[in-house]
Amino acid sequence: MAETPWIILGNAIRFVAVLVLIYLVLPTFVIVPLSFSSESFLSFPPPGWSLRWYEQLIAHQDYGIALANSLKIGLPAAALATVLGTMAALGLARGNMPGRTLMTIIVIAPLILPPIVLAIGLFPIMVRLGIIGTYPAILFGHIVVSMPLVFITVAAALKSYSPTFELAAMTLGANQWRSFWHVTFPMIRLGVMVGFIFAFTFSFDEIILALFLTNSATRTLPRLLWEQLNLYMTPLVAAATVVILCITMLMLFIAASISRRSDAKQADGSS
Amino acid sequence: MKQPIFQPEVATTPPLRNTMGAAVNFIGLEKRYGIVRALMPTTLEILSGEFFAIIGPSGSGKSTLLGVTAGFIPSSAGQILVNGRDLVGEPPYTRNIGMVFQNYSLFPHMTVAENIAFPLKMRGKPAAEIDGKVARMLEAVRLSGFGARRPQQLSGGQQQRVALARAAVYDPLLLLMDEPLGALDKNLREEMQEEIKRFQAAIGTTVIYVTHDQQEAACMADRIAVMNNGAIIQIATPRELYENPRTSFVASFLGEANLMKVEQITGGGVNGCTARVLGGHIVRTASTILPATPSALLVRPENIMIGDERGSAENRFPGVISDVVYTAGSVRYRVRLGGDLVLTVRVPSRHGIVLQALGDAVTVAWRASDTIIVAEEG
Repeated sequence: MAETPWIILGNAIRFVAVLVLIYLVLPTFVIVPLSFSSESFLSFPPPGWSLRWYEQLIAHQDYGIALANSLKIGLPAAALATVLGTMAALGLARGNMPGRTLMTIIVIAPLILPPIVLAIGLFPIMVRLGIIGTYPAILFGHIVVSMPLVFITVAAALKSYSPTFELAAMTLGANQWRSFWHVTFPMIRLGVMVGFIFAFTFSFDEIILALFLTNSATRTLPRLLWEQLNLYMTPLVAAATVVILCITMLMLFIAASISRRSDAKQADGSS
Repeated sequence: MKQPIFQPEVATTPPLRNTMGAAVNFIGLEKRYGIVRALMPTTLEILSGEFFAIIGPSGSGKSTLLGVTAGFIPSSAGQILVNGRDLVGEPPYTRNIGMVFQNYSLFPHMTVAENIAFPLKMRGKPAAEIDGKVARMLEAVRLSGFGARRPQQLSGGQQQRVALARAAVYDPLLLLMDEPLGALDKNLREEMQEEIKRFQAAIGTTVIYVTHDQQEAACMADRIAVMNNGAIIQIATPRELYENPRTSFVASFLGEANLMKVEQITGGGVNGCTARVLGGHIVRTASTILPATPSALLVRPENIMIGDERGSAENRFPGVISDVVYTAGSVRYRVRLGGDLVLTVRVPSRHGIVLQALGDAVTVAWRASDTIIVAEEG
């Protein structure tokens, strides 16, 4: 059969893909059995099983405060990044102002530039402003880096809809605001939601800016983990990591199912 | 005065509209992008209730004219008078113009009824009035019972009818259509042409209809403007445009055309003109006016007779059949005359007719009155 080589090649590619997936995912999940260890040191495989580290985690006050901090920073940062990122996407994907390419690059830059550079740059500014270690400092840092995530998802959603929808709305008597609110926003709503989740997930996992811009009162969960890891190598850290992992995966799962819904909608719309 | 006991019942459903479509005047309307003129200064008068088509190849300026009228593209100079009111400088949402787009642009997150209700909602109409008008519009486009569906659940033709209803439900004075049938297949397109004509007659609005399909324009329009390179070349009724095109561009844009470049032309007056065309052939026309500009002679393929040995046609030439194509209802020949002049001849295909074969020596003939002088330009 002439197709046999192609079948072999196809299977080979599939095999490599599975290997890569295992390579990508497995190291992350090694932490899960560690957190159920019965011993007070990190070793793989764990010598025995227990839930004592999760009990300690719940009892440990610092972790509760850090989780609350992460939410206090993550939710408003994601909300503001969503508003700003959506506005930037509307302006740059739909408007026709000069220098759009350059503006797009500037908006996306914080995502591509090394976070350490941004952190080192922001640190003296926050010190000068006298807000180092406060919520606004880390909030500002996280908005800058998570806005591009919103920008990219919303711009992609906008590009999948023809701009004639907005032109049609305008001929039908809707001014710019109403054509956005009644026509554009409902069409890109799912993209905006996915952008919000990405922005929140980013802030929730972020460590470098948190190290520079928070203090012991405002420290986030990743920062607390980092500090704990330097002092004690107990499975308590692993248990806390598993909590972060679960929250992040839940978020990404929600984002993925929203994306699937919006893809299905578009497939409907284009037929 | 005594009150009548019985109120005579006038009509169970009110008419779709009472107002007539607007008279539209473009005065020196122009669009420049830097030094590029997308639309030459254009002056044009469209009558109230007229179905006015604009045709031309892509980049001819027809979409620019439409965009400027709708308010999407700011004009550089001139006026757009709709019933005497200048629209220049107004945003699209206060112009009260309806527009139908090629891709329908029905809002996917709204039902059919919500789509049609949208312009009324934007105008703050009461819910009862909106419901009544939407129902009547759905009936007018024969989609009653489809109100609760999503646009993407309808066929292309149905979607275009919804777009039509949505663009007309608020009684716009002027309805713009931008290649509304471009996305439909041929049979559906012809059906929709009748549908749109019927709809326009019912609502009485003025229509400006942009298309690149000359046949579509000819079927539907009262008058057609032919555009090229940002300027209107000719405005005429479909028949006038086909039978008396002003330029060789118009002649070849509408239907098939045999164009013969004139090398020398003499005569004029009651005896017509006599021209020597490319290839040295002498062709007689019935035109009484001797053209002053470089020109060409136009003969439509269906006006040329083939194998007509004893006829009275003034122009007759020997030639050789170089191509035969049978199309539904007619045969299209290419006939090579001396001097590299090749003419297209279309003969209706009657039952049992013996077709000419490739390489046959034939005589082609046509009347002087079927020979039109056109300007040799864009």
